[in-house]
Amino acid sequence: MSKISDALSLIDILKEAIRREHDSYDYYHKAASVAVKPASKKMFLHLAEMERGHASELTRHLIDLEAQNHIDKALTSSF
Amino acid sequence: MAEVTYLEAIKQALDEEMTRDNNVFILGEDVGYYGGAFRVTEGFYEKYGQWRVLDTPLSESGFTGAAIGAALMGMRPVVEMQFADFISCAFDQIVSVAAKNNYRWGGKTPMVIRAPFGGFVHGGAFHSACPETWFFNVPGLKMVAPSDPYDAKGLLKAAIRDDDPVIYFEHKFLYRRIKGEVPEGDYLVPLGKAKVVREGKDISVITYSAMVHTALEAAQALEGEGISLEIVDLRTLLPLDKEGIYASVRKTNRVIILYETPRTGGVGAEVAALISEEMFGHLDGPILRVSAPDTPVPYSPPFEEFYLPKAEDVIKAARKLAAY
Repeated sequence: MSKISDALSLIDILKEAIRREHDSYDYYHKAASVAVKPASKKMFLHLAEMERGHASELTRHLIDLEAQNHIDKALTSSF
Repeated sequence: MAEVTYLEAIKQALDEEMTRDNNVFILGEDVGYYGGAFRVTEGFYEKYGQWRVLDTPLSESGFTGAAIGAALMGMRPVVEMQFADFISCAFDQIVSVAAKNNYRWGGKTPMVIRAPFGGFVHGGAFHSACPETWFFNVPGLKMVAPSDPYDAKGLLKAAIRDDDPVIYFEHKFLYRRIKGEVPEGDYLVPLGKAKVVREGKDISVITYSAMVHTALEAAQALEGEGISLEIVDLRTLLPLDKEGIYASVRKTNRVIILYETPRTGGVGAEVAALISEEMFGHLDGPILRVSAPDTPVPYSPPFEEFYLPKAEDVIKAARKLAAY
């Protein structure tokens, strides 16, 4: 967390988190492709899927936040 | 087919219709240089110029009246109400002039009034209303309220080509939250036709706009309990697709009507009355309504959440009806 600047908005934080989840997905997927034991391969694929789930969940939050930001701008500009 | 947001689908429809027909033009508050409060018309001013994308003064009555005049002269104006709540300022022009021209002297008034409506956006009492009920018993008007990008585009194109005044209710909450596949080429969704968005056998949930998604959430949750919901998206509120409604009632024999407006009067009451009159023999239980209460939309987010119909409310009603 120390690398995250205070200036980053919640949207930036979510975008960075999604990027990291995708990196983790790639990492585990690559690990699965080089794993020799079937049990190891299965575990890495499972972990990759978990990371993909995290990315989807964070993307949902990001879409919601960005959508609400647009609406907030419309609301404040209409007064 | 490309996947686009609900907002992008509306934008595509406007763009394609303006390219197709030089008589189509847009007018409203901040629709030109600024690109619209919700950015629906962003880039249109640059593309079509100041005479087809008109920034108007803050006078809904004035610019709606101007649109009616243009429509009577053969043009096809698309009026944007910045928020549907402000449509009340143009009430007289819409119900006394636009809606009656055809009845009074055969004057065609082909115009669309885009009305961004609905709650879930923390907009409070002046920026969250669902005013479709106010126009529901006005002969001469048509009203549509799409729930997904495909219908948002197809219904808007059909509305622009229609010879009657059409109020196009677009839900603000769905603008950038809902994505869906939309064909690249020209297509229309006919006015006056409901669609079944989820097949089911136990209970019909008759609904429209953002509430379709609430109904889908409830249907998924109820699957595990063995209660199967059929969801009918009205799409067009005026005229109602009576046969589409009746077909689902014949199938399930139980009905919930789900809508975001205050409970009293309006679309839910009319659908209930129609079913009661025409389909009474098919019913195995009372017609239940799930709606907002009879108050304005509260500003406080927890109050707004309490106020708006939720999947839990539909689930509760469905359990009650299934056990009847």
